[in-house]
Amino acid sequence: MRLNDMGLQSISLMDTDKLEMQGAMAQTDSYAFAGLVDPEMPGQVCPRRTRIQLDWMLLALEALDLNATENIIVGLHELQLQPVIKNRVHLWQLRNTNPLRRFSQRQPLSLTEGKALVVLACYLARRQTSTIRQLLRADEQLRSKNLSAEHHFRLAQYLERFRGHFLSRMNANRTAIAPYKSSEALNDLALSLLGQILFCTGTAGMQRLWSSLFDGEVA
Amino acid sequence: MPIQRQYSLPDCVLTLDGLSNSTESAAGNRPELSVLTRFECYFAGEKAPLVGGRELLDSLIGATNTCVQASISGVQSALKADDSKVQLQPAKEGSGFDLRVPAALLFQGTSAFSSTEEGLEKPAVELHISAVQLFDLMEAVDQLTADQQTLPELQVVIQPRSRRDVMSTQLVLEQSAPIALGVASVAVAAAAVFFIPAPKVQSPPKELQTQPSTSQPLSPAAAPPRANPSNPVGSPTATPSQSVTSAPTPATSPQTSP
Repeated sequence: MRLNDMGLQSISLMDTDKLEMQGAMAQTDSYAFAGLVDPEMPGQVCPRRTRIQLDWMLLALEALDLNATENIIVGLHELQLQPVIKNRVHLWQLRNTNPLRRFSQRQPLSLTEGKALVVLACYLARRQTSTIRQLLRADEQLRSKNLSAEHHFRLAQYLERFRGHFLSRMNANRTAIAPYKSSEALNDLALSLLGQILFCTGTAGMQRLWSSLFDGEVA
Repeated sequence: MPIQRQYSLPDCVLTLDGLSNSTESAAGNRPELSVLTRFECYFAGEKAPLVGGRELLDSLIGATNTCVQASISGVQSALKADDSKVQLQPAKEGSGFDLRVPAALLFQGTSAFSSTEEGLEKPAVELHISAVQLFDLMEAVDQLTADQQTLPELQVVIQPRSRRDVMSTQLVLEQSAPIALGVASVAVAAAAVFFIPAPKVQSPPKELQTQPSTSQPLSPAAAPPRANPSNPVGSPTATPSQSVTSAPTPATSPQTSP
């Protein structure tokens, strides 16, 4: 992965201007995250399920769009999220807060960083709304005819890419990954993620995604 | 003044008929729809729309909200379904969702669903909708609630559900499994042990008891050299023959220790 090479260089940079970043975060809070209410979480960090879910959704979005990596960077500029997510490396680090990753960082994901990932995911999802609809419709038609996903080129392509991303980035030794060993299970996961992403493309998609991430986690 | 508002998406169309409360009829602005008289929800591919009033609208919005939230998070609600309200749940078989609308919420006679065709009045209308249709329903609801000129008091509360609300029965089952397993294994073990006859305690005959007493003086004799700090590992129950073989080791240890 390209991000890996650049990783060490900018980690030291991040610590130096942490204070500056916090000031900027407060500023970003006002416009980009409008409508995303902080849930009452102990320590103001995202729980385990939230981190996994966010990372997997971004994984599905990457499988959907070959240019996702570039679009993410464009999105960071357009959405003015740079105060929170500075660059690719920082994004990679945030995504690696997913405990099931091979290079899991064992670091917390703050609510602000979580919100930034939600905004980013919804931005990417909206660009792909028509594709997602097409794929879900195709899946439905194939199911009604009892055909496998291989009969639809784009769907098969998406599933294959997702499986590739998943297997290369997740830690196969983790118990939580064990149910996804077979390609059928991975296909089901990819399709359910696709359905979840579709719901994020709507008018209130961002709020819906954000609140669902804490479903059953608040008291 | 009668007003009609339509929220139209490819797979779902919501139509609201109503009246404006405000007397001023601004020519340029959209008048505010404040009283709902008729609500219609049409899914692509269905023969007829669902027609009802405010109750149907409110109930449908609530069900959509819950279902979408559960669908994104994958966490099912533990709350029991209310038969008098619209229910929207993932289909038990295959993909898609099951929508169940109680007949009491529908306007009788206006909708094809509520017509009593064979003289049998169904308690509820059941539809199967796809994920894309549910998305369109959700989007139409979101557009409707975001529209300040249509039922401004209508609001959808999007918030995470509490831990208590999502405590599903499956979780309770999962939690009780280890306890049940423990209790069951204790029961099985108890049953197995029950059939094993209790061993009879045989008091050793008196003659045998006296014999070891004669050999006992030997072992104290062998014990003193082993009581040395250099070899504390020696077992007191060792047979005399062993103690004899182990005797050279304490003898060598004083030589090596200085």
